[in-house]
Amino acid sequence: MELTALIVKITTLTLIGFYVIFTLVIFNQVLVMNRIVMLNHASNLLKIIATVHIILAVSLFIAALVIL
Amino acid sequence: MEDIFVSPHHSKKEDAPMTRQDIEPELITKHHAHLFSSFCTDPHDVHFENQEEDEKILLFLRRHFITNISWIFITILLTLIPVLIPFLFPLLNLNISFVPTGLITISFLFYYLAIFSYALVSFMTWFYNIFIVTEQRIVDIDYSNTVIHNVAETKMTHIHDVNYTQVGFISSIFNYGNVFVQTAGSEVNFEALSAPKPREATKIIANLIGGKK
Repeated sequence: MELTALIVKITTLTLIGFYVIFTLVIFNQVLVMNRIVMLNHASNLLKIIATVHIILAVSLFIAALVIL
Repeated sequence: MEDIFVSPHHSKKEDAPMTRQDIEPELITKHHAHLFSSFCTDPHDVHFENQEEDEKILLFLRRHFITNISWIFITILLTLIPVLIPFLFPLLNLNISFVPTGLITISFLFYYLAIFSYALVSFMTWFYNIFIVTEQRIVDIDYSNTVIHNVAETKMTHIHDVNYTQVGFISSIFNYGNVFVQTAGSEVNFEALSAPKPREATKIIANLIGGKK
């Protein structure tokens, strides 16, 4: 049972870890696209949303690390 | 002998490339490009890479917002699925009591975060697919997904023709269509797909390249 729990924990953390990397890729894309085209308030709003997305993903990773 | 045909006199002004002042005034009204703008003439708060200091953007185009309806619908549907799970599992005689509560909580949160990223990427795909017309050139910014983007531009003098197609019931109702800009020689042709007010957009570009459509 302990081994199963460990496997589940490692799998979940790996998945969320990949997801965190994905959120960083999205954030990088927002920065790149904002350099190509700038729409004052809208571009900044999208940057904020992408940042919040990273924070949520990292929070989930930490939560999984603690709870599981 | 009396002349049978006298060619009309071309003034210097007619031969010169069109400028912003030559475009019909009703097509040029200053607008503020907000988050959901898909058709904006003379936007004052849009800038792009390599834009000259005196280069004014005349037209800003994106796909019509109604084209986002599919991913918005899918997002809402996916958001509602976990709400139905407590009712579905007893119906299907599935027992998940052996699964730790912590794992269920993390799974739910991960699921909703994945939906959020699906909506964000879908929105970005719409938001960053931009077609810009300035006094000097056309800039087509394509954003396909998180790893592919393409920026193409051509000078007004390289443009041969501009036309648009508006096919289908929905595109007629919401007044959107595909605007095609044909360039000279082996250069890529530009297209603004599902652009709102395609007739007006075509007219603006046509006026700029000199031939009134």
